[in-house]
Amino acid sequence: MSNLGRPAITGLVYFVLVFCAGVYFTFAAVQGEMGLFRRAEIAADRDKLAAQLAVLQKDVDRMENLTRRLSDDYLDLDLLDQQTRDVLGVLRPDEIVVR
Amino acid sequence: MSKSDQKQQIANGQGFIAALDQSGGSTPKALKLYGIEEDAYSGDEEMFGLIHEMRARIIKSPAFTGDKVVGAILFERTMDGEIDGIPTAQYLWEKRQVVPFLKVDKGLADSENGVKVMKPMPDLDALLEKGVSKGIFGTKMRSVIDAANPAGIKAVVAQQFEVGKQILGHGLVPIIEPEVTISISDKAEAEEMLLNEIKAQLDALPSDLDVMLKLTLPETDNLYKPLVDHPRVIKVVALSGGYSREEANDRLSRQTGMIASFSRALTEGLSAQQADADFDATLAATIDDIYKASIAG
Repeated sequence: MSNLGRPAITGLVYFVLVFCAGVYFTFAAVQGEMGLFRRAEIAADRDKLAAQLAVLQKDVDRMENLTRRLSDDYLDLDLLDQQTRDVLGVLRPDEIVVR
Repeated sequence: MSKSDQKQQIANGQGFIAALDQSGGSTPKALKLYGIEEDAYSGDEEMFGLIHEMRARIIKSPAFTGDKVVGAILFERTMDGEIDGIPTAQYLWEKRQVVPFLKVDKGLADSENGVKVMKPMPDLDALLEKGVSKGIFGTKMRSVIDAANPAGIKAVVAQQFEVGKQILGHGLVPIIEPEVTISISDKAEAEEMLLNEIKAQLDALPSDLDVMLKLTLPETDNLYKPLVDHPRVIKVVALSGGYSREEANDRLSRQTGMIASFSRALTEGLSAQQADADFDATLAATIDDIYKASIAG
């Protein structure tokens, strides 16, 4: 009779082990380091960083344009006049500053 | 030989409009590029004297004539100067058949609604009267559009035409320059809005008042053709706004009826130490290069 009892226990142990593994893997799949929540978090980070990159790239393009137009081999006089007034505060003697 | 001939030359426009100046802040740099180091002069007056000599040398160069350079934009200081005893603007037209324009704006206000309008010009009338007495044909004034913002673009165009009417009141022809920054992502959209705003202002102009337009080379080919054909527009000139020379020339050649007005200094490759022949040859090559691009459109 004792033989019959052993298979039932083994089955129970096997079932418990499998069940625990399933719970663990389910938990890991949802909450774990490589899980769904983590994936959503990473995706959100990626979008935020992509937006930041776009803003920075736009600034880089603008500054490259300004630098190019004030370089020695390409002098845009309108921009030069604008920068000397804005940055250096250049003013002609007969000009009046209106704030 | 007067306003009507100058207007005719601009309207026929076989050539480009050059910019001949830069303001005081950068003169030492311009002189250094020209081969004159800072120890070669002392004091502002001597410095401006040297830069004026350089400009005079450019203006008197054989290649610098109305055949290819239909107009030249001067800063106030250059207009006040003389060449061979003749006021610069008068010399430009009478001796070189180049139509003189005067830059009248005093810089840009802070950015608002994605644009920069012009700073107020309280003494504009006095400046315009002086320009008329010195033989100036027209003026130029610049604002900047940095975004496709309807309110901002409307404000820029409204200010430009309001000041433009003040200039027309003195019998001068305004070059209206609302520059669209080439590095913005919504450039095409901004240009579409700009086109509609300018068209509305032009339609409201009385029939005896004509203007000129200086516009960034557009994303869409021939976007500004309706302005080129508008009865109130003498000429539409193109500004490169930072495009490389090749791209600027390529874009310009795809815009029918537009000529160049690249405010790149004509001083590229010129130096005080050059013999006159080399100086003239280098200048002629630079003028030729931009001229070909202008008439290709």
